Amino acid sequence: MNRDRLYQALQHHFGYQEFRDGQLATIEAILAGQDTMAILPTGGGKSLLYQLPAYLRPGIVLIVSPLISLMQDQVDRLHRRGEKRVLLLSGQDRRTRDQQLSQLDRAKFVFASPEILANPAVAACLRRVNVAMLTIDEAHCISQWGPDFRPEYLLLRRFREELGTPPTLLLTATATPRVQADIIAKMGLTADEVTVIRRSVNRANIFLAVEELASPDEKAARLLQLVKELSGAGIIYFASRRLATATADWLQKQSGLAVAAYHAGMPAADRFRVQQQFMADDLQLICATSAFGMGVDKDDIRFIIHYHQPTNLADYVQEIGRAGRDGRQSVAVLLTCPGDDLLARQLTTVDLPPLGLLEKVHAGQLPPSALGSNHDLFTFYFRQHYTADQIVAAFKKRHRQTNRQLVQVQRYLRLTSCRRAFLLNYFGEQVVEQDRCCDSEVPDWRSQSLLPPRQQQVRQTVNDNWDQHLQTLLNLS
Amino acid sequence: MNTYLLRLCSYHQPRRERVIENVLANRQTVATLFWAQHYGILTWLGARRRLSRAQFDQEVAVLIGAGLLERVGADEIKLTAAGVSYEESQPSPYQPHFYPWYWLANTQTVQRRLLLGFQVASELAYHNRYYAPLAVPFTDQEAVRGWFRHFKSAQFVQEVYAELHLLAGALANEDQRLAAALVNRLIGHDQAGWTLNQLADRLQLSLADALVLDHDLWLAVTAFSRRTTGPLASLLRPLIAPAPISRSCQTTVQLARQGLELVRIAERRRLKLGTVREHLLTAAILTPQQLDWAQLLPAKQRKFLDHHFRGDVIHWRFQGWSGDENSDFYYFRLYQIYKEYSQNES
Repeated sequence: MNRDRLYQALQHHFGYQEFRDGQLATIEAILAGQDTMAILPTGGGKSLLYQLPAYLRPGIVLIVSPLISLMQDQVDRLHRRGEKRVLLLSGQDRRTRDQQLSQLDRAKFVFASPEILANPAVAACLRRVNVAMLTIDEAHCISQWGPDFRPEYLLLRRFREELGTPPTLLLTATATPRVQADIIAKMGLTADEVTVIRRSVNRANIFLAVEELASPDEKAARLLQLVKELSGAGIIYFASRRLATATADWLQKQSGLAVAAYHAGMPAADRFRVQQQFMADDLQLICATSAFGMGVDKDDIRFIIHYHQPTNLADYVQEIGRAGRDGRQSVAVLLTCPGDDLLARQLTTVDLPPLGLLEKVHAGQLPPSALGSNHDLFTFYFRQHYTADQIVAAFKKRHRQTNRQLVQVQRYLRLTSCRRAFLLNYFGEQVVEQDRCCDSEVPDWRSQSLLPPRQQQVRQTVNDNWDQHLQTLLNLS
Repeated sequence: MNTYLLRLCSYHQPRRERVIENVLANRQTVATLFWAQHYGILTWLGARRRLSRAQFDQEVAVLIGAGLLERVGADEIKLTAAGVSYEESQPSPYQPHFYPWYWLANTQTVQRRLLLGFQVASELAYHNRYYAPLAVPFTDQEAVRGWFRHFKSAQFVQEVYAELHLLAGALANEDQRLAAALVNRLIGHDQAGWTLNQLADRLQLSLADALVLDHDLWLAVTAFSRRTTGPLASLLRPLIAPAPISRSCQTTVQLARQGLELVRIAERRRLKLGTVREHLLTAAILTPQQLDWAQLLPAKQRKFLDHHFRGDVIHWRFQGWSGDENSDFYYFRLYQIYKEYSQNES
């Protein structure tokens, strides 16, 4: 397609003059009908890669995404641009979904989780309409989650074939060469069929640091110090909802900053409020689980603190990549204390039932519930014609894989050399030299004032005059 | 620590924790309703519909760990002396005003529709078409969309204002905090509104009190919509139940009042006999004044039950007498409800 037309569409639909690095090449490839994999850093403008082609081709763009919060975020952004032809199929009851499916032909963007696409009725409806392009957002999930937590990812290959193999766009911010090959293979593609657009995961403006504390109490105290020292908006990631909530409350009281928790267990309206307040700088800190952030459209997040260890480096790089999208100096700190590795291990372990038990369930001699709380996971594989032996082998293989990833995280924590070099190496990239790189090169970074001093925030006070507030809300004052 | 559950527990009366959980989450069964009525917590039905089993168990565990609750037997909990002291030490716990309207509507749905409907009005007032609407289920989106199409006019924003002004004024007469909560929970142009934690913080309430107040607020909004006219009332009216019992339950009660035997009712309505009995027991608990007790429990039956079951109804132990356990249990439970109702009325 003529480049002028692409620039016109960019200007017309998005108000931009220029493409970001990697965007034009990706869009040209997908519009040429090529299956394309774009590995662009967080904040690289990945949603534009499927949104712009959608305006240049008839038919629907189907976007498969791992989290409802992420899909909702994309839907919100489309709405903000005035695009109303959007359907979100996941997270709805059956009646609602049926209503939505009846309106499928009026949609331009359809968002769905792999689980909903595994539903035969949904798949049948999608086969009846013109799906011009299939987008798999956060495509690393195909490799990362496929075998254990989200087995439906493995069905995407067949689903794509049933749709008539529309041009497919695989999007991710982080994929090692090994994960890249795994994603391509699991989608039933070969390396020479797929155009890969890869840009470095390196975010030069994010300073990397790790701090090892002696106990959870010390870690909490250190967190408080850090949020007082670092300025600007920040996100603190936790592995547990309860701790995220409790720490938000504690930090607000201790620091005087405006802090809120965010996790998937909160009511949707409160999640919406927290996100909007954070965007509007009414909140300075968010204590969140991983539910927060994928797709957060805030350029000036200055720091990311991990209160718990990530379970793999790909997630870590994605999460810290939410800082400093405006290109200004930002900081990523990982706090750790003894015992944290056990928690990370617990989070990645699936209890595999004994082979004999699996065989009995497979043979119908025992009910699936005999397999414990994860019985749905194992019965999924039986439905996909796996034998008990094959399930055990697949899970053992996956277990070894997650262990290897945890070992890499441990190595990152204990590094005495450059952390950036380690990460770039891990993702198969050339090492780069830079200033303000990481704590191994600038051990006294805390005294270096990497970020400007925090400005005193005026805390919002309660407006006692409810009528005045109401009038403001309705533009009547 | 969220001390909400302390409100539903007693020092003198151990209470079944699953009953408390099911009341809050609005999982209605005859057994739950019966025990809820006995504990005096029936008006808390549906007060925390999103409460999951895991969350409930965790809150109980924290309160037990803090020494404010204790477990009695396998499935009951009660306040400890420390729990009582804690409750008494709270300066002025929020007392709900509108909980007797618990049956009016699912306050979660009311909230979703009102918030989205108001957001649409607020953005319209600012002539803004490019905004992210609050994410709600598709059914609610469609309801709000249809409502907006119907009511959009030159006076729309003024009408919404007038309606909310009236509502907030009425709320302020009950409790100023309710009016503040209403207008500050609203989502509008460049205003995301308070989260529940912010509501607690800004109104200087505990999280437990904020939860109680928030449910009270949405019940108030619903009750208000029932009696007023205006765009927002029209948006919410389809969500309002006409009575505490379902339409199907009401039909069964009407047929029973006409003197039809239970078996005949089941045949005519193509329901299981057990369902018919459940309808009548539910009505006996939720709307006892509407039942013809003399018909449901004829004097002879009552005399028989009175002879067999004496003392505190809660300590009665069921034992069948006619060979039809289901029928006997129905009369046993109905008589328990009747006795409690009569005691409360006298």
